[in-house]
Amino acid sequence: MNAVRDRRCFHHPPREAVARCPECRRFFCRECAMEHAGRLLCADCIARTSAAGAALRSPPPWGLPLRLLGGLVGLWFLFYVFGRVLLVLPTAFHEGDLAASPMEAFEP
Amino acid sequence: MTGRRRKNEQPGVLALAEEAVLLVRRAPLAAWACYLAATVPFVLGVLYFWSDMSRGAQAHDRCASAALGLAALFVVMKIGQSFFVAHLIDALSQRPRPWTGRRFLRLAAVQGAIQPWGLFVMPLALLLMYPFVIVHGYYHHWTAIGDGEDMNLKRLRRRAWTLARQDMRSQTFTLWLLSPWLLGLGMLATFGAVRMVALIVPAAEIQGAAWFAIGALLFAVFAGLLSPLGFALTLNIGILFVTIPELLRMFLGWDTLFRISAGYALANTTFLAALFGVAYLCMDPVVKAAYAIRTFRTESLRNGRDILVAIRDLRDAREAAS
Repeated sequence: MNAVRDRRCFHHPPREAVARCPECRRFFCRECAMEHAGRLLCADCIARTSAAGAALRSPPPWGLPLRLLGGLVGLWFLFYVFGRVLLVLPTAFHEGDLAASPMEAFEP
Repeated sequence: MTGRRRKNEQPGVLALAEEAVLLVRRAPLAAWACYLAATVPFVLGVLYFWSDMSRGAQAHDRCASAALGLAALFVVMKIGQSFFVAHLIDALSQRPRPWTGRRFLRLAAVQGAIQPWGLFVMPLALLLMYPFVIVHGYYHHWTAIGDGEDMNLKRLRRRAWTLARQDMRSQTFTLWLLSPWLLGLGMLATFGAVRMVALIVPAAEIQGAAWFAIGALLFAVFAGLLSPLGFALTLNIGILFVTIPELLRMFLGWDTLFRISAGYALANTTFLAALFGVAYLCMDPVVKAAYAIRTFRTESLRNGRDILVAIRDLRDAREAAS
């Protein structure tokens, strides 16, 4: 907090700074810093964040379906590779080749 | 009440696990139905895929189409799990939010867009061990916060990332105690270690049931250390799987292949996959509940919803008393 107390407002140099904007990293006085969505921001950053937020609130209509499609293709590839690995392993491995030969011990 | 003071009032890690079990037991029927309807088909699909790819004569031809089906089932599972967690959070906040078709579609879109990538990132993080706690938490918090109320992916990503980095000690313990991922790692480590023993010691020198003894010992070491609850659970499920065919013969006279060749069934990889699948179905709802509690508690530090719940409880208690 000392770092803030020793600083001056970016817009009003005679005034003591009370907060540091987490977006632009500048120091601001009581009048210039405002709370927005649980954070203390300067007016410029609030305007910029709001504009960006408005843009994000209306995402391009193909954004999510494209991500979903990309995820599905990625998953399909992952499971396909997994399937190929299972196919490559010999049947004896899947049947437990280490334990299969002395299995007579378990036979009824 | 300051954030620090309320943070100190967070329950201990064992209390969190206990509360998660209680929350799962209190979950509404609709939430359970959705969870099981979405998760069981994926688990069965994986088992069918595993069995088919390891034995099927024409499995080469079906691999691509079966993998696509499995990918679709995975997305459906994640949507169902998010719906389940949303109900758990509603139960915690005592504020049921209305479900509309539009909200469900939004939930499906958000979960479908994000969760598939978790299956790429989480195994990689698991190999490196330490970042797995954060990555595991990140995707589980996505399940909790991507409930169709917010479609802003950037904001959701920031929330999930912030939540995943909160209280790492509790999160690590939750992961160790409840997560089926570490059980899977323990099973893989056991399998690898048995193959290593087979490479070092000639097969002829180990006879009879000695392979099972070695396997069981290594499983107790690896799974017992990595996931003690998962180890106990797997042991119980394994005993159940072996006992059921015997019971069927004793009481109903049904002699199945599983009883006749019990030893062979124990040794094959599909049996191990089935063990893990059932253990996953038992452990995963509790993990989801633990992350639902974490999400609710951590976000309550900012929105004070836990205080509203406490006030409502006090009011109800006073009304009941008067």
